[in-house]
Amino acid sequence: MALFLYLHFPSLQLDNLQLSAENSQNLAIAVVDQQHQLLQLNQSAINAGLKLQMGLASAAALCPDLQLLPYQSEQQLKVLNSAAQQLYQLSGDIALDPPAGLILRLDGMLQLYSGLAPYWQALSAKLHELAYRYQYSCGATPYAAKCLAYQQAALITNDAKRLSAALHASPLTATELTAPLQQQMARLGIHTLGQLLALPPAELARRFDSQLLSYLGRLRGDYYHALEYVQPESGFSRYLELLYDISDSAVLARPLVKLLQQLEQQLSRASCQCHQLLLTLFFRDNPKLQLCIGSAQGEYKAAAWLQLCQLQLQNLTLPEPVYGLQLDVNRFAGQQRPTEGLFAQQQASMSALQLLSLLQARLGRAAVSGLTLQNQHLPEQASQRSLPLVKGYVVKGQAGLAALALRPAFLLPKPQPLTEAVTISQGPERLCPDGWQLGAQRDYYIGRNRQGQWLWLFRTASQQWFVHGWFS
Amino acid sequence: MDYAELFCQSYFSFLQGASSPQELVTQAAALGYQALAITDECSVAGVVRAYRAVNEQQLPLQLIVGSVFMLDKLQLVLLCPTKAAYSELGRVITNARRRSSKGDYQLTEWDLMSVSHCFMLWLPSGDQESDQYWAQWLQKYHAGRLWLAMRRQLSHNEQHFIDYCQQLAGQYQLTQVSCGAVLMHRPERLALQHCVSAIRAGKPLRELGRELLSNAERALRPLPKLAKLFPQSWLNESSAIAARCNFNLSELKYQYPAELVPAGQSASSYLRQLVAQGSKIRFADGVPPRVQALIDKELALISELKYEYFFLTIYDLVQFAQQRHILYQGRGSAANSVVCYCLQITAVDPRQIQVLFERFLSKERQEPPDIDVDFEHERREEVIQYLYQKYGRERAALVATVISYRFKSALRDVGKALGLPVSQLDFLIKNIQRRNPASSWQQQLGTLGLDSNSQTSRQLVQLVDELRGFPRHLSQHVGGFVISEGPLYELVPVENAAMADRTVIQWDKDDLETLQLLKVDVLALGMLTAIRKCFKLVQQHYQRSLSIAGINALGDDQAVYQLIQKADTVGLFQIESRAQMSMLPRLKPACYYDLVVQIAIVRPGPIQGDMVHPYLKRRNGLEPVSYPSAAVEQVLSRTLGVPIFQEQVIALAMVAAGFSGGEADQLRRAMASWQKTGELLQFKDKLINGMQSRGYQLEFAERIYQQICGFGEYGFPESHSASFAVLAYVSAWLKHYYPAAFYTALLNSLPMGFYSPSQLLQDAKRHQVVVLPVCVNGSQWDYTLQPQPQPYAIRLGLRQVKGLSAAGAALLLQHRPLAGYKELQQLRQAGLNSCDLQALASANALAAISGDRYNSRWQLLDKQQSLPLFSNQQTEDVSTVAAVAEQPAHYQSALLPAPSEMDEVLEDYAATGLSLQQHPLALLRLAGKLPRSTTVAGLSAVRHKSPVRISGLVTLRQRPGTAAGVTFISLEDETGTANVVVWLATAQAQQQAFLTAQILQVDGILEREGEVTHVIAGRLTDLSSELTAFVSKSRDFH
Repeated sequence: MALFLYLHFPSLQLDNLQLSAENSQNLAIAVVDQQHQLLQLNQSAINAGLKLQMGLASAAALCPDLQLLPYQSEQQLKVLNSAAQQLYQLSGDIALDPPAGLILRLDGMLQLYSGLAPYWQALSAKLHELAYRYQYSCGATPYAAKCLAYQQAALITNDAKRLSAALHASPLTATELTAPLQQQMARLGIHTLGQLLALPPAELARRFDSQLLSYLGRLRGDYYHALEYVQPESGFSRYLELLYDISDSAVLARPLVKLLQQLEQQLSRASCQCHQLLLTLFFRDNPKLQLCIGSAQGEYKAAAWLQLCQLQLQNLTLPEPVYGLQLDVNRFAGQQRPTEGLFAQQQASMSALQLLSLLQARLGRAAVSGLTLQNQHLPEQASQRSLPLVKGYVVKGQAGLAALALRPAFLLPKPQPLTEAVTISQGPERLCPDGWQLGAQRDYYIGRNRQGQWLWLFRTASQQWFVHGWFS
Repeated sequence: MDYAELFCQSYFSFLQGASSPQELVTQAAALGYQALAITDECSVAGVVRAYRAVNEQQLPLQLIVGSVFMLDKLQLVLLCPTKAAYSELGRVITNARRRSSKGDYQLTEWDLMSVSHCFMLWLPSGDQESDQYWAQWLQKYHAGRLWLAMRRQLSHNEQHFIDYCQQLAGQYQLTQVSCGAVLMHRPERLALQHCVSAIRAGKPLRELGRELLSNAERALRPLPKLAKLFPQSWLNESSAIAARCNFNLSELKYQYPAELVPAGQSASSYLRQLVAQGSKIRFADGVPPRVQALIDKELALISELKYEYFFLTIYDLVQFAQQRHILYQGRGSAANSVVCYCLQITAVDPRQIQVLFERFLSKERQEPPDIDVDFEHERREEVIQYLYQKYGRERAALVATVISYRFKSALRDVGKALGLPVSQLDFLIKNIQRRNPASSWQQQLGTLGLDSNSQTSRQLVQLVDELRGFPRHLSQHVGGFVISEGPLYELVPVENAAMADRTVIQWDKDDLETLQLLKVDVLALGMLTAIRKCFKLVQQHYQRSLSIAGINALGDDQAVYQLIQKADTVGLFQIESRAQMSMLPRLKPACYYDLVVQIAIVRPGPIQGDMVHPYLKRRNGLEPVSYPSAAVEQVLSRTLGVPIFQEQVIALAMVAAGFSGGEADQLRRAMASWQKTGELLQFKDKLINGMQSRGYQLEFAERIYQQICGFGEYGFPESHSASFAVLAYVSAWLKHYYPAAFYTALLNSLPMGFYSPSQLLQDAKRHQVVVLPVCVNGSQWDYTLQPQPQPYAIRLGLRQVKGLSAAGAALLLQHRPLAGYKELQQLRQAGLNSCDLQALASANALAAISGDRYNSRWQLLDKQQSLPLFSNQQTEDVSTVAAVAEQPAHYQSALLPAPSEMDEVLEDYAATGLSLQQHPLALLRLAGKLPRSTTVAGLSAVRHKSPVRISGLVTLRQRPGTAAGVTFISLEDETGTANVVVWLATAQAQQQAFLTAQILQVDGILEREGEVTHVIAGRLTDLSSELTAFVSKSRDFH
């Protein structure tokens, strides 16, 4: 007979967080969904009287200093996946049952561990190590195990009678049936799986849709329940020991090409590209050196990566000869190439993203930035440095006189006191930082000095004059 | 230098203007402006307030009425130089508003072309094409009344724009005039103006950037500054325009519809005739001389004040209601007159109450007469439609109510503008307790997680305070109508209300009062519906014809008053609330006037003003009744020296502090808005000094002032209480003599009043009325009286079945065979859909044809039975049908469990909100889940101050404004309802049970005062888990 174990992690996201955050035990913390319902609670929160599915307002009334975290399904899936990966060392067939469950097929494992008890001993030790709260149970089918685990049945047995009895006594609330269906059953006086399973399937078929029957079929094991078992994780990681030590960083390119070509092969097999490489150089005496090479656009070609690597290597002075190289890629990304027009003239030249990657590799990330227009009155806020290639505020199609204000091309980072005689030609334009600082308002003028330069000037409320920029 | 600001928007340009009309006129006068035009966008909603402020403060400022309009890129200010121009503006606004849904307007070229009296200030847009077009167009139609308005906002490129406008002016020979396009009375309002702009744009402030004003130049600016900004000629032009504007709002006169008076008669003679006719009906044995003298006196006063048309309008309305057999009752300052009694506007018999007409309507007080007429709530629409039909939409419209920002809405909108997350705002709004005396809401922000020193938090506090009281939009008054002789727009613009087919004027009731225009209040009252339905049932089943006046004429019935004194008042009008019930056994009303007092005294006003205890003591003879003077005695003698009614407080101010009629009227208005504006403070010195100078003790004067403050907006007028008392008495009379009919009528008039159907039916059962369950073969849509079993039983109506559609119920009733339905299939054939059938099954209404709920549902779920082919076969072959129908029913009943008693009760509550079976608490008690709990009935055997445990369903959590920190919880069990008092500290210590329990066990101390019993809560235990699927929700914190 087939035997399954179901592990349910009721508060995975929260538990995972608490592992990393110290002193968080005393705080009441809850994970809430977008409807402001409590999904996961830590022990302090439970002690404060909070319950799952409770609304935020009642929760806040009961426990005013409750800390809230938004539910993040992707993050939770990652944690679940990593839990599966770690259990994979002990148990072969593990299927994810998002958002919070793992299905383990046991019949294959029992031989390996010679019995259920030793297996559970090993597994529960590992679970303890993981330190996530969990509920568990065995069952003859995945759904049966899940249903029992939800009730915290904690049955570790392959005694078919015991399992079946426990299953029949299960309330419908522990099943996969939708809430409306559960309600419908309750309104027929049917509260347990036993009652439901006792009804003739033909009578059920006359009254309910196929979902119910298919669930019951899988629960009983009449229908096949396909499971997708997890595979060990993918990625790229190659170590290359050099035949001879290399002391010139430019020469490193040659062995590196091999690694990059291997990467290209693997990436193209998977139809993927990657955005970042981790290149590690090993030295005899000095600690290893890690270089992070990025491509904003994403790349798979060895040649392109080589160019980017070389740019970084050029700047590098090696403390001593290198004896080994390691290339790691943690994440593959799907191919997302911008489609270029067939007849686009710039086909041969570099895309903006490629140029950006080159500049960043050559000058360092911090040295490259863009300039964007902001939707602000005040000159010092009206334009601003930004990440490269980010679009700023776009002035809407105002024409004529109402268009953008006249601003100088060269703006001083800090206004300088006016020290020369000027003739005022335009103004004032009065600007007030915001409604709270009427005293800080400035009157801007355009003036001309003796040399014929056009100056952008302002006068403060206390009648002091400053230069803020020059017109070209 | 003379300057008139001709373009100024108040906060009635919603979410644009950032100052009130009052602030604007006051500031303009302080700055020495010659005139100020209030020109809100397509609206004159703010002008009356400005007018009142100018008059009350006697400001040396000319007020001009106008409005600004946008049409694509055209921006135009219209000003009213004459009455004709005002009527024209009213027409333009009305047309533009009526074309659009509520809150919007749509102007057309035609509207502008038809303008021939208004002055026009044109503001060019800067778009050359559009400006050239409009300059030509305006010059063509409106030359001579057209100016080019010049602004100086110190914005960028302003000089270019001025040059451009100069050139336009030259090209088209337009005279230029300066204007400020004012949005704020002072520059300091800039932050608030930014905030309302953000609210208007629906974006946080930081995202608006350049869309916000760049400086505070759109405030009213001092004259010297204007002199620097504008050429003298432009400034002079503004003052010249103002000098040509002669229209004043005081010119508006109300013209009553003439058709109310038959040809050949004057309003006065016709009213006299109607009263004479009416008095013969009301006083069948002849009018007593004393009453006749009153009638003559009242008619003389009405005639002197020229209010005949007002009474005639109301008379016409109630005549219509009488013809349609719609029950009504008048109330208000003028309603309790013998004239109104004779005109059958009210049923308050002047012989029953010592009516002093002048008490309600007085020359000195300068108040307009006030008559509200309540109609049956389900049929008021007929009366409204009658009004529209009789006078037409041109001549009748509802009065507006200005919906203003209150604390919560202000906090929400300001918070959003400052960029706080919506969920955090929701949280703050839910959790700030405004009645918490220990900490202000500003302090609570800190404890709720907002750093009180942060800039955002400081800005939030200031802006919320400033924004409170700002109008958000105009809504319709509950029932105030304005009716006029000519088109209404000549008086005031009309716009669409949110409800289809409703129109509202742009002024509210205070504005109308200021201009002394009269309104007619057509209100809806649920109790009148219930009483009329009850009269009908009594007529039908007991063959007795009843009327409100008739019951009243029977005189005070002590049997009825005994019921009231016992607080057996569930379902009665006005005296059914918890607070009223606890007062009844203490006050022991024994006559009509006692009821008038009873209704008025259990109000926040008298309670906060500490008038209840002195009154009770004096009434029970525990304290001597004394008066500081004969004048005061005259005002207060009927309430034993304690001021209880609003009229008494006003009268006291006149009699004891020497207020003039006009001052007393201002005091009345200040009282109405005391909580919002604090206006009352300005009367304090005058009141106290006035009383002291007339020889009253300082202590007495202070106490009267405190009482006036306590009255605030909660004071209740005697004139209304007198009418309500009649209805309270009639409902009590019906409950005493015809309980089954009374409950039936009440249940058919829900929603109204304090109690749910479940509570009403439990009360009915306590009065030995038999109640029968809802049944597919026995119930009508409404609750009905059934002659079986004797005397009369109440049969639940299908209306009580949750989820049953009105259409489904109609089909059910229409197709019901004489002998009733025999099987489910017949219901399907009648056309009921599965939702309706499920609803019926859930309510156990199908028990007669398909067994218990579980079996009914099981049969309903069967898809094969509902196939049309199958159903045809059934009807054709009757013999097999019987066999088929019987067999599965038998087979299925074995399949499904039978519902337990508790299941039945819970399902009853879920499907109908009530159960005729055992009370859930009784079941819990039987099951031993309520150890040592006393029943509500058992409380009477518990001694004062002794410990007690009680459990019940939480039906109400109430935190009255008058009782600081106390929550009243009503606990219901199978024997009745008990009142639990929870002190703040108790509640805070046991929040979970306090806030969330549906079934609550309370260990506490019993306190008894007279016949009033409370349990003061100590420990609270949540027993809700005993009934997991419980669905009856309590009404929390109303």
